[in-house]
Amino acid sequence: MRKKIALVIVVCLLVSAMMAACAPAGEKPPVKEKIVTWLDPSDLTGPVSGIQIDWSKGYEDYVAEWNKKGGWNGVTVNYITLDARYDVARAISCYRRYLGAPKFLWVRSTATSVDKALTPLITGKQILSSVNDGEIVAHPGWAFNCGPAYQNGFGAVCDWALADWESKGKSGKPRIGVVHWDNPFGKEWQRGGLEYAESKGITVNDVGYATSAVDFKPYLTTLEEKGMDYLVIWVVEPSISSVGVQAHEMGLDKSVEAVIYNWWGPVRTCGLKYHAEELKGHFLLAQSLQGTDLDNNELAAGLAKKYRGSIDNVGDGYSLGVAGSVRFITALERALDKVGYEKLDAYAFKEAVEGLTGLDPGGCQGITAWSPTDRNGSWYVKFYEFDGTTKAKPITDWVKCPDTVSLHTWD
Amino acid sequence: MLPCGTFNETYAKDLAIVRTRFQWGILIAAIVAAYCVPLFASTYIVGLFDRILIIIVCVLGLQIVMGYCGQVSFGQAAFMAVGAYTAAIFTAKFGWNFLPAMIMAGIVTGVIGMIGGAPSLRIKGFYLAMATLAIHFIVMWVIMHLEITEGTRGMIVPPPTLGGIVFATDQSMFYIILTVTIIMTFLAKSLARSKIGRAFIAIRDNDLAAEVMGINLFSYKLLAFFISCFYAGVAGSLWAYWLVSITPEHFTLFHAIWYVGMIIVGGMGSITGVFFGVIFLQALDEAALIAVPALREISMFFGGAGPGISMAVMGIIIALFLIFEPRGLYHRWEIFKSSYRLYPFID
Repeated sequence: MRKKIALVIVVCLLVSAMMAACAPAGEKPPVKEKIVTWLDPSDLTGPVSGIQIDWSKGYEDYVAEWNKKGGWNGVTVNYITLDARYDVARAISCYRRYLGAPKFLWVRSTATSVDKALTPLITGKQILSSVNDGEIVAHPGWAFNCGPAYQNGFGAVCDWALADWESKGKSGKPRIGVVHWDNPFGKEWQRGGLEYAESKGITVNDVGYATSAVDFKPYLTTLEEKGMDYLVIWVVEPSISSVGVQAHEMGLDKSVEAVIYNWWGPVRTCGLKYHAEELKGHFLLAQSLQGTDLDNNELAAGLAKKYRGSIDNVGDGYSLGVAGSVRFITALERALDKVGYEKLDAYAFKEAVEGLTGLDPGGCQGITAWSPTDRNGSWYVKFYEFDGTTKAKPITDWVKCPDTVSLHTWD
Repeated sequence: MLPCGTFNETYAKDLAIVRTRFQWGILIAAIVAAYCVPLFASTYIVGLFDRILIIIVCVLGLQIVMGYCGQVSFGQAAFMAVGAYTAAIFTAKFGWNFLPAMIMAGIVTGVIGMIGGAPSLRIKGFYLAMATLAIHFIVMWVIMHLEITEGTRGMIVPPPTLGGIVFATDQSMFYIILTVTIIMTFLAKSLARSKIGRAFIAIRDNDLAAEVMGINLFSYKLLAFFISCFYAGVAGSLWAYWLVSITPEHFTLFHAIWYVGMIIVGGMGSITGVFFGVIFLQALDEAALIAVPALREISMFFGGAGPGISMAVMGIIIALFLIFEPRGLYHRWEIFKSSYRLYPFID
């Protein structure tokens, strides 16, 4: 008898679960609160978590502060962070899950491959806050890069290396060796970046490795054998710090003019926390405030102190999140001013985002470049030097990147 | 165990997949209900089903080579990539219809899988696992460096069309994916009860004895890899048509390991176990995703990265599961069936 009862219970539970899962959406309950939904399928446990966690925190904290101040006439943003683990299918699943959420207008992408998969899905429905994919700049649509395109950033590295080379009175042109991830992000800088380097007479040798690699010495040796005057490490934290440490162990930072990292690390809460000494004297190309600059930024430091205890509890990616939030919240306010909450849709939001040209994102990043024809978040980068502490020191002011995207022939 | 009062009187009855009228009724009702899902379910649920069904096709292939033939393979994600790219190339670059492109994807992947499976004659167990790991990296490296696959940039795949109908949504793709899954499941189930299937099982249980019995180990092992990779290729092509864009990052070693985990959780050597394993782990993955907003509230206990613990929770659940039910969910299902089929004779 007990088994019969158990069977009935199991069947009832299964049927209930199936009905709940497949139930029609039906009439939505009346919305009491005026909410705009923003979705952040971040990478909190995957290969780029070293930078993404703090990036998400920056977004969250600024939104939380804006909500606390009352939002826009009672309209608040529901900022949802999920762990997509740098997995394209999972990011898409996160996206689909919130399709029915009220005023779901904004999604953040964490990877170039996620950009590619999400772009056709969000078109006409949401804005995609993408990473620095040059293709998005070449074909302006519904995705908006968070900063300069990767290739434009690489162009800035070429300019910096050339200026450094000439200031040292060296003849000829420098050779740049680039170690990068062998994936869409890792090679994106080449599309336009290589053309730019060639136009400047710079020789570029590169080597790619899988994101799961832990021993980088074979790749660095390959570059060394090809010959290089500057070593550029174009990967993401925490892998980026590991490459830097192994380059130091090989003595490469003594044999080349400079070791330069792209903007995804090392950061104070990860690589610099454990390897500050090994990374001393290396340089960083940054698209948002880092190190002591970040400490001195009133907005970012204030938010971090209020929501995370101290600016030292967040990594340097925090500034990028705050900058992004300032921009999108400003666009949201402008869109709401124009059409109100009821008529607010992706088209109104997109138009407002495209109108942000020239906006200062709280000093956390360079001046906003988004316009109806431009998808670069900004054209400006800064260079920093690691001095053996956990805080990078600025060595330049904001520097405008060259336009390298236009040098490439796009499909 | 058969239902009470049901006896196998002929060899055909013994081999039948569906044995009683009641079972036929349940099967037909389940298939009809499955085809009705897009009419009622949200896009999210339909998308989730799409993903689960594609993974089921892929893991069915892995079950054939691993569960039936006993050859460990960590190359299934890479073989799925081969299928996805083959379908994408034939559709986007050569203008093929999705149906022949999907079959071609299966064949091409099967042939590559046979080459990859060649070491299985000389090595087995952990050594074969290591060899297939190497195959994963070799295949992915080749995909990332070929011009026709557009390297690491990935490819945009046109949505499938059939008689003027464009299958561009999750709902419409569901019908294609479900149909393919039903066909592939039937084929896998049929294979398991055929001469080939019995040869696979003999090789798995004792390859030396199988060879003495006259089974050509090399041919059958290669055949197992071909069939397994054919499944992976078809699954990969469905994946490409479903997501409309593919990059090498869709097919990582992490995925390959999860596919093996799905077989272990579901039950080795069982087609039904594949369904249990895939649905259980995917549901768990999704539950972890759903729990994330709640975890944010307690994130201060985890250094502010509360949502990240979802993966740890999932790992713990799987570890507990493996400790308490190492023979897989299918075994638990068999025990359950046995108990209710004996009712009311045993209570």
